[in-house]
Amino acid sequence: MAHESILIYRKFRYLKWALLLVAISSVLYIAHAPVGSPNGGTWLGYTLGTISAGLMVWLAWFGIRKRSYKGSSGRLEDWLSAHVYLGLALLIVATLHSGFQFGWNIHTLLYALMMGVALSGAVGLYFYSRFPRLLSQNRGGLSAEVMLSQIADLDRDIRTLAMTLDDQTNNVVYESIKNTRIGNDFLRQLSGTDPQCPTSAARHYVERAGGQGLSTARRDLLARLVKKEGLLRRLRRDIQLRLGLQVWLYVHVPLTFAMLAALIAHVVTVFYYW
Amino acid sequence: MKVLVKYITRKTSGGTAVREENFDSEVVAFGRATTCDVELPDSRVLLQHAQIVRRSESLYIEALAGETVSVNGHLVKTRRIHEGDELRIGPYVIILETPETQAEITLSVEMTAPQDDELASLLARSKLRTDEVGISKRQLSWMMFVAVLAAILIIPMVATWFSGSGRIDISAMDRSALTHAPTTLWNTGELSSSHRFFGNSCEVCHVQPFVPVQDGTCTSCHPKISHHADPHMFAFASFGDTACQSCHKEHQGKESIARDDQAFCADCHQDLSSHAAETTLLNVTDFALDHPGFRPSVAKNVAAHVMDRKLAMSDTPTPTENSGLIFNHEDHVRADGVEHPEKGNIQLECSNCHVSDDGGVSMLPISFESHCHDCHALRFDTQFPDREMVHGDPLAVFSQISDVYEAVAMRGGYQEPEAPAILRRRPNTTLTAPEKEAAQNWALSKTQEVMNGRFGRGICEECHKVVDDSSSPVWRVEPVYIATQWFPKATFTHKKHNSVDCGTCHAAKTSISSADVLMPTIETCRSCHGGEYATDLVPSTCVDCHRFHQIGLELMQQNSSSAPSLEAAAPEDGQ
Amino acid sequence: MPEIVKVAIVGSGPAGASAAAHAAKLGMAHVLLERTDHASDTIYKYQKGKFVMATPDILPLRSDLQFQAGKREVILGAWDQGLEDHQVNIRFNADVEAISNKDGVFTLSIRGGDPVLAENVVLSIGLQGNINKLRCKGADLPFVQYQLDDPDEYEAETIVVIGAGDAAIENAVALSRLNTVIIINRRGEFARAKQSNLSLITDAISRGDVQCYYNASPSLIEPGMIVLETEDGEAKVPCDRIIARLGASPPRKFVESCGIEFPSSDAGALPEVSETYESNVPGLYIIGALGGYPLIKQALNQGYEVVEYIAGNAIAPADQPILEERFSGMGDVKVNEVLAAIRKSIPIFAGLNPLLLRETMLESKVHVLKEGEIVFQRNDYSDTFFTVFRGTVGIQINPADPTQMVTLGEGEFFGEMGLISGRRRTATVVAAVDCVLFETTRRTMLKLIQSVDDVRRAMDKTAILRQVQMYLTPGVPAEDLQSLVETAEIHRFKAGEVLFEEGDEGDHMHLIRAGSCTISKRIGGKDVVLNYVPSGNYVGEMALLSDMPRSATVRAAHNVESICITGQSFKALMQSNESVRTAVESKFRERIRSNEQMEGRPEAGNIIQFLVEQGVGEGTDVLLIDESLCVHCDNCEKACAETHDGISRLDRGAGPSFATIHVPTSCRHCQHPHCMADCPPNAIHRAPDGEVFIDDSCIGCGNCQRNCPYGVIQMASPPEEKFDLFGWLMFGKGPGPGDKTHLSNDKSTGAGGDVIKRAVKCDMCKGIDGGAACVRACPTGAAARVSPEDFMSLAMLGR
Repeated sequence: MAHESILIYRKFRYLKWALLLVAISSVLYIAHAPVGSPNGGTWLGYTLGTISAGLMVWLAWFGIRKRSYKGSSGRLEDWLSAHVYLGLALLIVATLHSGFQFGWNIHTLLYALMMGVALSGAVGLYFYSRFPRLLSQNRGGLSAEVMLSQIADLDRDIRTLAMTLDDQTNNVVYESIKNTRIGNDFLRQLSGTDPQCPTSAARHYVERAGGQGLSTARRDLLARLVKKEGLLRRLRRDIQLRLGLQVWLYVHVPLTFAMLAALIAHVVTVFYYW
Repeated sequence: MKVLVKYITRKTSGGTAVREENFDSEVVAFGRATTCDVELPDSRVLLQHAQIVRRSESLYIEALAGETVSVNGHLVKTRRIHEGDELRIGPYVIILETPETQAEITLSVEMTAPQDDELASLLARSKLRTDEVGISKRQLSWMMFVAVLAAILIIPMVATWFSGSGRIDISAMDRSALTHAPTTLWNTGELSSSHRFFGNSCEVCHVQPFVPVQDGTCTSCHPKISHHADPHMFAFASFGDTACQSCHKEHQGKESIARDDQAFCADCHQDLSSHAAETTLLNVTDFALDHPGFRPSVAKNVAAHVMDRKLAMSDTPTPTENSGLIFNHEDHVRADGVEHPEKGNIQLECSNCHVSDDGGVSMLPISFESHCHDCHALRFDTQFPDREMVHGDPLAVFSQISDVYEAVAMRGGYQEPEAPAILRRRPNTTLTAPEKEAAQNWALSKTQEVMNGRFGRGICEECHKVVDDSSSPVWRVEPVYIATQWFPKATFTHKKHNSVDCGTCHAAKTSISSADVLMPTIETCRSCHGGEYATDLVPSTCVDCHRFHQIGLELMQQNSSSAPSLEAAAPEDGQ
Repeated sequence: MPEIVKVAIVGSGPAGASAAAHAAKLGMAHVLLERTDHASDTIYKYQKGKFVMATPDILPLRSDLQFQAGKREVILGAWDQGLEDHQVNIRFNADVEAISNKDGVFTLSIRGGDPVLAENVVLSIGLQGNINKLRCKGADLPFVQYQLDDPDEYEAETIVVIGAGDAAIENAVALSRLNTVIIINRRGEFARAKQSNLSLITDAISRGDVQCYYNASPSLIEPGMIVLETEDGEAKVPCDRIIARLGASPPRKFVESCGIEFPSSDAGALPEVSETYESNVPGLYIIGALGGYPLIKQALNQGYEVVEYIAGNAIAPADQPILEERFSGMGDVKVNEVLAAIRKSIPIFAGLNPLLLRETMLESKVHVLKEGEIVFQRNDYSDTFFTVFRGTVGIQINPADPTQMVTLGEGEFFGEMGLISGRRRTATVVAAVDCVLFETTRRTMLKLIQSVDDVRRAMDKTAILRQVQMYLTPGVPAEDLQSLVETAEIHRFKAGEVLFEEGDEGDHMHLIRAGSCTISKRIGGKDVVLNYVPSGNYVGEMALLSDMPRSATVRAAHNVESICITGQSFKALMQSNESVRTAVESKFRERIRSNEQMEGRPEAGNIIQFLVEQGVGEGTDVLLIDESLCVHCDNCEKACAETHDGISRLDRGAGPSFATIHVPTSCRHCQHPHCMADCPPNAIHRAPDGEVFIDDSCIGCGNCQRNCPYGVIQMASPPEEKFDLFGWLMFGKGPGPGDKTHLSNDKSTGAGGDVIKRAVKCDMCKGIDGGAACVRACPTGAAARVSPEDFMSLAMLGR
């Protein structure tokens, strides 16, 4: 069982590739004494530019490779590992291509977008390396489906239990069952909590109501409410973490497309005004 | 009273299942509680919700605990009810039916809105997956893609097409022609100071999309830019259609776009033969290291006005010139001064004669009238101290002198003792014909005497070479041919060297012959100037003394016309 | 004196109906007796619209009844039509109670009807047997029924279900969705039920969905109510319907009552019949499932043939041409001669009756091999069984040195180890000289082992010897092992059963020949698993060597078959044989070492424990997910779906986890696949590389789905819309990869409805280069496929 993250995958094979690429470009850049200051217009500039553009397209292609399941172009793990390291290498190659010339123009916009993509990617990488453990710790062997059905079962018990109790309690509890939500809107999922969770409210109520010693029914009810609360907490946390594993892509991918657009513009314009 | 309750369950198949229950009781209690006569086990029902009681033979429904019951759709606390009335308690519908056998009240109870499945409803309420919150990567991506592409590519492009782009002739310096095209964003970098004023009208230079900037575009404003080498002699000389671009990089920031690094020149000049076999130029990479010795241009054949262009100072120990002038610098600038007719003894400075032009580049030509005449007045007869010969044409001088003596012969009163009496007679006495003829003969002979004598030819010969000329009544003065441009391929500026004493470079003080070439040798320059990378000397690159674009060569503008020869092109020819 | 028909046919299934039809065609005096009020009850009871296959395809149909693959309704219709057209004399509701024979005339006594007299009797009653009925009064009341076709038929009723078997439980739970259900169990618990069903019913009862009377039996049934004898007196239970699922008594008793003998006492054993289907009772013929031919087409053919035989025409069986073709490899030979020769020269097949032999040969391949040709390679994953018909083969006992060979001569067999252990081939086998071999499918062999005693005996004897040689005493000649093998016996243990306890006296050892075990030790009051022992290893030698009590407990991880070797015979061997001693002792030391090591690593033990609990030990290649790397992208599922026409065979989210190891719901490719157990068209096979896969002949009966304890098989039909990468990626066109919403597979039922659903399961991406798609498509390397041998190493990672 390959217990290694994509970073150390195959003894840093792709890190080595990336470093090699960076080294070569840097050496060339230093050795190269162009007419005027270094820029994208020299032969080296064009070379680095072509490499960078190629890399950008290749990196973006990962989205397609990831989904082309047929055919055996190696393990996806290779691709991701390479995607990460060559992605970082791109930053340097592209910077050398620019010859450190920045300004308020679309060329620097492209550069900025590229940085954005890389940054979001780095964040994603961090999440990927951290969240899975948190997830399985939080789940403690239970799958989300199981937790849900457990909650449903609890709901059933809770409702029947409450029916034997006074109307007030029954009402509160019943409402709490009807109105307890998990996840919902984006921010809720992101926060991983529900400040005004009806279940907690119900629990408080039952606790307070039973100040003067709880009847067995109440105790059972309370026990279940507490259990349900716990499950809800875990489930919400679970959703939060799962979202974490996805949410960065909502930046990474759109930015990538913006970058590609900028890339097209960059290439077209520099030759439009050659 | 006897009560019959029918619990009805409706099947999905449409049929109904009925469970009947009989009991006998005074009030019929409805509620969640198991103690109720009619148990309605649902959270939406109260423990004790309502009851049916009989008062005076008629039935009443009474809601309990401040609750209400819906009777035929009306919410009531209590109300009399009849057969066929429909009561609603929570999700249950209870209909008071016509009493069946041995029952006084017959009720049908049906659950109309059962609790929905917990899991299903929980899932229905909750959103567990990210893609359920309705943000689509795809949409975002497309939006970004289209937005960016439109904003920075398509719109500007379309705009430029419509903003009547095309050739803007800036050569007229007509600023009004400059548009502010919406493509500022495309600018890869600041324009050089010299082109800064183009503003955003890229079309000035980028005439045609997807075509590199052509030389024609540059030369349209810079028509006088000449080639670096004669394109007809040297293949390399015509650098192609984008020659300008290859050296002059725009959009690299404010500073000038002209090149001044010596490596740029050395690139070819370190091994010229491989680029231009025919050239007579010598290889060079660095002024201090391997720059060939200076080779000034000096007069070679005065009569034919020919310059010896490549007189290498380093090669011949004492290079000589033949300018046709006889001049002794030493005598003029000697320390004990020279005699001035009026001022007496004075000390002459170089600058008394050598004055640089306004640009301070080279020296103005020397002229007799302004530089020599003060001391060297051309008198020819003590009897006429105020009469001087004109400088330049011997024939003119001859006629000038003969006129003088003719006049005196006619008038008389000439005090010269050796002169015949007829000349010494009292002035304005009339002469007889024979006397007149004698006087005229004297005048002629006297003129002859003076011309060839000490005060005539003698004076000329102090500075000039005088030769007899049978074709002319008098002798002839050889022409003078002094170089104005000693180093035509170099651009030396005296002004920049003002601080330096002339003697440092020009050994005039010790020069007694005008054959001396008083130009400095390269060593002289090297005493102050080093190559580009010099640290202890003035760093000087090629372009400090040389031009890239050789003045006089064919202009880059005219791609190819009749090529003028180097000779004809040489600027200094013909004074 | 009623007329005596030429032939009386009992049971109107495919066999009976076909026979009757043919008899009618030949104008033979006949009668067809059917217990129910409709023909062919078994197929009649299939779900509505079930698609029935016509296997084996190679077998030509020979019957007067129409039959080709199609919907249940169509087929039944065709047969009824056929019976009508041939004016078959059929008697419905004629339940034959007994058959007696008196001077060549059979008397068939019919329950509640006058008997039938016949010269010949054809028994085509199938295996379904008689459904057991309630014995109390009122058992025949209309609201009492003995089977349930469609649970959703009934709603809002109070239904009493009687019985504690799987059928009863499944019915009760299914009914409880729409009805009030009361289940009545004679005993105190549901012992007979499958594990899955047990949890099903106990949950239902604890939830209150189903009400249960334990230790209760019905004493009286009256309209609208049933009276129960319970521990605390009588209980009256009002109800709208009573469903009694008391199982069926196999027809054996009845058949034996007719004087027919069975070869073995084994429950699955079948009566012996001659080539002409005649039983040991002259004039009494047996065809169809009872004769050992469960497939419809075979039954139809036999119906035809048996009538021909009765009419006195000796026609060749329908499979004659096929057998001729089979044997053609041996040059031109007469089928019957070959069969005779086989009986003579191959002892293990000698005991088979002609028909069984024929069928075995139908299910076998004939290999004619030149000298040196390879039969199978070591570590191949084939599970077929070989018998040597002509020539000899060599078994390379030492992988290092292929020249070391044990040769097997004519009549001997090999390949039984794979058959038993379900593991890879343990040695390469080559043809020593030119030879002829028969390769018989696993399924057929298992059937033989079950029904024919001598086959089993022969197998076991040889198997033990060979396994001991292979795993325990390599290179020791058979004669030296004689005593050891004599005293050795085969023990079987269910999952969780103990081979021996820590602290017991150690007087024997076990050689695990199938299944696998865990070795655990009591540490701090709780069992800590120290080691996992897959088949092919031995346990219990430590106590023998050290003459100490057992140092650890050995438990069966799942069904285990072990060769139990007595202490002294083992010790004797140790004395006599140097090499064996050294080998065993080194193993002994090795084991002590690893035990020490593991005692320090309880978490590793727990992981093994967990994996074993998940039945992973039963698998040969299991998909595990390292949760510390899994980013829940479900790319494994998507990859699986897109490489298998849109249906994912794996459910990442589902399944248990422990530490950071997650066992998703996907096939483990068990050593003894449960799914293979009962597959009518025999569509489930094991490929040479070990993949258990389902071929196209699947009829969608759903047996495998029900049999799989891990729920990794689903009934599904490919989605009509395919995933189009670019269309979807760019414009969200069509279904996404592995998009479940575009699928119409419900895990609950088997085939049904008009769309034919087939069973689908993981085939380990057989035939797709690059290996399993799920693993290839995992971006973070979380998914991995492991085999039980890797557990230790996996556990030692102790994450």
